[in-house]
This record gives sequence, structure tokens and C-alpha cells, in this order.
Amino acid sequence: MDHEILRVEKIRKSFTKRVLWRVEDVKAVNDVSFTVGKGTVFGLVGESGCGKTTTARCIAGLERPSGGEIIFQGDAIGHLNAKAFRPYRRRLQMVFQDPLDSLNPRYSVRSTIQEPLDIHMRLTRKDREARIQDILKLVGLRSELLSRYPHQLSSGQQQRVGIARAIICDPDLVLLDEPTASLDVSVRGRILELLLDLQERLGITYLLISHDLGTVHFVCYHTAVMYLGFIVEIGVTRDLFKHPQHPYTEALIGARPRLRGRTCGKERRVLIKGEIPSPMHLPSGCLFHPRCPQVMPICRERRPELVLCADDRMVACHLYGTPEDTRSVAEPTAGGEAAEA
Amino acid sequence: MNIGRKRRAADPTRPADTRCRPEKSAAEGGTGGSWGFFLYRFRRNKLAAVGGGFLLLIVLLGLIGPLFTSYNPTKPDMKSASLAPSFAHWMGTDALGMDIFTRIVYATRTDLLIAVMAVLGAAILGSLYGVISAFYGRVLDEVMMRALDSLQAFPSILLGLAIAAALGPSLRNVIIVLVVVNFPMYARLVRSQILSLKEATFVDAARTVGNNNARIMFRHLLPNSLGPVYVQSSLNVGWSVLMAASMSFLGLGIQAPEPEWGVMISQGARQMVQGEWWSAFFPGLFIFLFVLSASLLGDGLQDVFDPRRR
Repeated sequence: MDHEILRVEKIRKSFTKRVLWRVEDVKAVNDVSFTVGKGTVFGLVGESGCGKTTTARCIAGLERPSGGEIIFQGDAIGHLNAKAFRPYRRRLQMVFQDPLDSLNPRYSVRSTIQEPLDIHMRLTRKDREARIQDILKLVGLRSELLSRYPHQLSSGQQQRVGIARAIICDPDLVLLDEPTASLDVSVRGRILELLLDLQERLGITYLLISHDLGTVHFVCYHTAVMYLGFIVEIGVTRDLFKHPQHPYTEALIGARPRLRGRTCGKERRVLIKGEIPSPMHLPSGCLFHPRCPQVMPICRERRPELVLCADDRMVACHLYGTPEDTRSVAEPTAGGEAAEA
Repeated sequence: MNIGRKRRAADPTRPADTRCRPEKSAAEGGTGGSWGFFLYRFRRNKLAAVGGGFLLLIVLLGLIGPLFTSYNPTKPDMKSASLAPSFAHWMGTDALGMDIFTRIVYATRTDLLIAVMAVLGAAILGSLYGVISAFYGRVLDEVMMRALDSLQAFPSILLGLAIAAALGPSLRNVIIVLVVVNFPMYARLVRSQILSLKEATFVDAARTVGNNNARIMFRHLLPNSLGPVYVQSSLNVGWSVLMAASMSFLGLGIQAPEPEWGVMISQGARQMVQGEWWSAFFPGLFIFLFVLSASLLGDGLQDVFDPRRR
């Protein structure tokens, strides 16, 4: 695993919620593990509220995980305090969902882009200026915009500023938290193209968080599917979409809107019944069993582990791998071979 | 047929100055709604302008007023005591024969100094207090806010008098009193702003980019929460003068021969019963005009900084 850049090991995050005198635990992320290979795009998909964003926030050091470890370029960064985390900030950046909300309304474009440079690199005025101009060119912004304020920009331009801020210090890993979700469809494609272009040119690794399966299918090499804070399936995106193993993945992929009414090949359309359970009261056994179309008795009792079920594919479901099969707690390997790809 | 034009008249994206021209809006024949709104805004802005103008005049008076008068503001002249307003003494003289106009001019300097220093001090101290309390939250916030509660539980004039009595009456101590009495207001104002702002994504973004707590507080959070502080400051300038005058009136502020509006009223009040209305009336008028114009300006600023208009 020399090519891994990020390894997440069984991280958990729970928030305590106080309702009158009762204290309830909201388990946002549970034992999430995955590995991201250097120079790849790793996708994290799931419904809203399934813990994707919390996972990313833990990695970015914005939340401290309640348990588990995060290993970034060989260093454990999961439980560092703010000061010890700072050296990693330059290499680990994030692009946020709502571009306007993620920009300081009193910062001009120039101040926003320049701030990371001032914090992490001591540059001469000339070098700094050159760097800013380079970045503007890279993200496709005109230099007249430097003196503008966020509310004077279009949402596409705002997101470009957000991207510029993230990449100006040459990061190794960029967490993309639904970077296109709040953009117009017309702008969405161009921002996505920009992100891919930047990745190719600068060799950045992306962790893309999205609920938009189309985007993930288009962009990511590996994908992990999350449900209620657990990863239910990880695999190579292309295979995952073609042959989903976990009933939830299957349903999720089946729920994508299609242009033609008929479904092609082996793909079936499975509709999930019921509502997503409350993360305060997780169901017993497999989390998906109350809604699963292929539920078995064992599903109500035991929580399935994430097991290797095929080449480069891991599934947490009793349909694959018997519970006696304890060696199944295999090391997650998703992204490891990605560098060759 | 008129719809396009009507819509343009009410278009919020147009710059404010074009909306403030009455003849234009009238010519476009805007309907009652937008016309009424426009009138309302114009009147508010006009009042603010009047307030600002008056304030400027008073400041000017303090700066260049001494050029118009040849009297000494603190030298008694018993030969011309208690004279009614005349050409020689525009606002009359007091019981000790000092020219009221001259004293008012010099008092303007004192009172402006007090007001500006007190408000600046209170706003800076209060903002710091508020930003720290809100940013760190939890126990610290609780302790800091309860401390403010107990400070504010005293009636402010009583608290002021107590502090002044302990420190002794002087210009510096009047300013200290005003800072102590006023800063909790700013602290609460800023705290409430920060509490909502610190959940915004741009704060997360700032942290991701590598800002430390101090930079997040003072470069990201505080500048975004100062709008209401400006408004409050301008209202507060008026109240501060009022409070300073009250303290002088009660004898614990600026001391007697020194010209100050409150002191002058206090001295003049004794002469009122003999029909010498001018020695208390004119300083009172100046306090009134000053407080009023500061409040008008503050109201106008409130309009400008109202988040719904941005």
C-alpha cells in the first residue's frame, strides 16, 4: 500500500443530543473504513443524513472523531489538537457545498485566495502576485474579478473562487463536499470538468462526496456507499454500478431517473419501502433490514461485517459471506490498486 | 403596458442613489406601494442627513467656536453677573458673570471628548468581550454572561455614581464610568451576532485554510458582526452625553468651574426661580439637539445596515 494517501480506520462520530433531561446519542458515523489511493478520485455516496459530510469533516479536522483513526500520508491525524493539525492543512483542503456560504462576505476574491498563501507560505509580493494570477487562470476566472465581493459573483464564479482557495497551496488531497449540488445544472458540468482538469494537471487526489450518482459514476474510480453512518459496499465504480451486490446499492442505483422507461440488461428496479430509521435508535442487526426486499431472519439479529465478496469489492450483507466466516474482517483494500489504473 | 416600468421602479438591485431621487420615481408613475416605500425611505434618510448635519455643526462649533468669542470661559466677572441675552452676551451670563455662549462652546469640546472616548472604549471592550464569550462558548460563555447580568442588574446611574464616588470625580473617571455602564450592551450585541455567524460555512472554510482561533475571531467573525455596533455607537453617543451631564448635575462628574453642559445646567437651575431662564436653558438645548441628532443618525444607519436591505 505505498500508493495510499488516506486511510480511514473504523472512525466513529456520535453527537450527544440533550432532550430535556435525557441525553441521546446520535451516531452519525459508525466504523467507517476505506482507503484512498494517490491520484485517484474516491466517491462517497448515500442519502442525505447518512454521515458522508461528517466523515469528510472528521478528515478535514473540523470535527474530532469519537473513535478510530485517520491516516493521511502515513501520519495519524484523527485526534490531533488544532495546533498540531495545522501543518496538514496545507496539504489537505476542502471545497464546500454552498459556494456563497463558504466565502467570507467581507473578503474580496483577492483576500480569499490570498489568505492561505499568507498563512502557509512566505512569499515575496511579486511571487504571490504571480501565484494568484496563475491560479486564476487555472480555475478560469478573469483577473478583474479580484476586487469583487462574493455576492457580486455568479454561483459558478463563487465555486471557482472556493476551488482556487483550496488549490492555491498545492494540496495533495482535496475533499469535495457536494461541490456541484447547489449549482445550476448548466454550471455543474463545467465545474466538474474544471475539477477533473485540475486533477489531471496537478495530480491531486479527490474524495468526492455526493448524492448525485451520475456525477459519481462519471468521475470516481472507487466508490463507497454509505447508509446510516455505515459503509455497506465499496468497489470499483464501474462494476459497482453494473453489478450492485448490496440490496441498498441496488435500490439506490435503480432509483436513478432514466430517460427511457425500460431498464436494460439485468438491472432491476427495486423500490425501497419505508422511511430511513432515526440515527438515534438504530435498528438491531443489519441496519437496512426494515427496508430490505431480501430480508432474512439472520438480518434482524446480527450486523453483517464488510467482507470481500469479489475482486476489489466489499459488501456488508448476509447474502454474501456467512457469519461464521470470521476471517472476513479483511483489510479494506479499495483504492489500493487504483494507482495502477 | 406600464408593468415593465413599474417593475423597474421597485427593482431592489438598482443602486440606492437612483432610488432616492423623488422626481424620477414620480415621473415613472410608480403605484402607491413602491411610491410609499420610496417616500418612507427618503424621509428616513433625510432625517438621518439632518441628524448628521447637526452633529457636524456641533463638532464645528467645538472646533472653531472660540474664534467667535472673546470671553474667558472660566473667569468670573461679578460686574456682569446674571445678564439676560443681549448683543454683548448672546446667551446671557450666569450668576458668576461668565458668558454662557463661551462656556457652551468650550463645554462642547469636553462633552464630545467624553462621548467619543466613552463610546469607543465601550464598543471596543464590549466587542472583545462578546466575541470571546460567543466563540469559546460553554462554561466561559456562561460565566462571562452571568457577570454581565450582575453588572447590569444595577441601575446604570447608580452604578455610575458608585464608581465615580470610589474613583473620585474627574474627566477620566467619567469616561471610565461610561465605558463600564455601556460595554455590556455591545458585548451582548456582538455575542448574538457571533453565535449565529460561527455556524456559517465560511468559518469552517477559514479553519480548513489554516486560520487559528485568533484570526477566525478577529478577521472573519468580528468584521461580519460590526454593522449593529456602528448603529449602536451612534445612538450611544447621545446617551453618553446625557449620562455624563447627569453625573455632573449630581456633582460626581466634571467639577464646577470647568465648562460642561451638565455642570452648567446644574448651576443654572438654582437661578431658575429668580427668572434667569437662560443659564440652564441654553446648555439644555444643546444637550437636546446633540442627543436628538445622534439618535436620528443612528436610526438612519440602522436602515443602511438592516440585513434585509443588503
